[in-house]
Amino acid sequence: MHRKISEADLQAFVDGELDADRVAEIEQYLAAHPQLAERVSDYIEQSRAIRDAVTRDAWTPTVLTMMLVERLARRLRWLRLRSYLGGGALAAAAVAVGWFGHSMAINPGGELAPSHPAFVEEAAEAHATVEALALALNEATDLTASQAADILHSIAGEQVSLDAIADQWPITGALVVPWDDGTAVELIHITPQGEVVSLFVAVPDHPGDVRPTSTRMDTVNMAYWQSNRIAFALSGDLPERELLEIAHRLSSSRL
Amino acid sequence: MGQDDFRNRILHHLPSLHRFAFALLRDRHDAEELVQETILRAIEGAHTWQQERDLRRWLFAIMHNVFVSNMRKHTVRSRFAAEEASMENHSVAPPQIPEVELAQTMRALYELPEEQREALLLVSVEGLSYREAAGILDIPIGTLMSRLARGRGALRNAISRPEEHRLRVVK
Repeated sequence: MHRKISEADLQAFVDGELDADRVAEIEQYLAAHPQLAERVSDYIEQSRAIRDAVTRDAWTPTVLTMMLVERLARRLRWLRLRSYLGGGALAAAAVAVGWFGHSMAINPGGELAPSHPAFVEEAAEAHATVEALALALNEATDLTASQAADILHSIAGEQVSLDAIADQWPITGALVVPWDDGTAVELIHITPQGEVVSLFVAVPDHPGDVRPTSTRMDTVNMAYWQSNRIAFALSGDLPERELLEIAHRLSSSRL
Repeated sequence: MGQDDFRNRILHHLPSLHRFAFALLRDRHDAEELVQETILRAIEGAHTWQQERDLRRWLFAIMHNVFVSNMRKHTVRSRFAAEEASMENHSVAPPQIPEVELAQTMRALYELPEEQREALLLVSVEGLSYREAAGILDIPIGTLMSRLARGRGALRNAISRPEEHRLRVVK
């Protein structure tokens, strides 16, 4: 004698959610009820058709998607490390290497020396992301400077007058970019020669003052500075000296 | 656990995420954008992920939330014709199901309410268990089963099948 077979049982049968005994019961029941068997057969066929239809085309992720994957993987690795170390050990490590510890360099004497603040690496990555957007730049940079400032304010509680920057350094738009300490914004400027120069603006955990400084990350020239709670980094295919001049000009503007 | 472990795990789930996104949005470009937005949200909310939690379920849950919150923003376009055209132009057909039937199935799938489509995709395509799928959609298992039943019933009604095929199935 069969237990009652419900619609839920049939669904679970199709989806392999039942134990062997119940499967055997339902198979026996279906053998005696061809109309129901036809319905179940249709459901199974349906699932196969949907699976075939949506899995038929291979997909290759774009460069931007791959870059985002790298960033997520790095973020998860960092969080795992932090959970292994625990708060105390991490604080000790932070004191040992300081705010500049994220990017140590070997000086000519062979000792570890701080090279640049952590946000500079993030800015370089964000700039690479913007470059990867290339043709889609107009679509991606759909924020105005004041909208980007509002986002920073809502995320980090800091008021930054990005309009003041945009007044002296015309931008084509802004976009939100992720970074390890939360969210940052990127203002995009296109030079008359068509070069993309980006200004990364973020609110790091640690306030500080860093004078405009030029550096080079991988193949990108950069100039960065920090004014109390706000960090800035210019990146682009311009000579370091030129970027530094822009950095000086922008850093002296009233934000 | 190696340096690239997280990277490999995410890459492993990427095609599934794109497939899910594509089946929800019916457009490859929009699907890629949904994948990107999902990863962005994951980066921003990475601290909410617990190491012991299944990465795939976490990413799918983010995608579901992004999709639901963006639904109003998305312009609903009729892409059936384009979809059909793309299917007709495709050179590699699956071995057993005729092209026309695939197109018909997809058209019927797209006509389902989003909630039923999501349930079907997670269970039938991604092979998730009821518990996993219900967790991603943040609904009770009973609700998931009811959506599956309604979705399958509607699909079955929508798809007209050749008579000989129907007879063959009955045998």
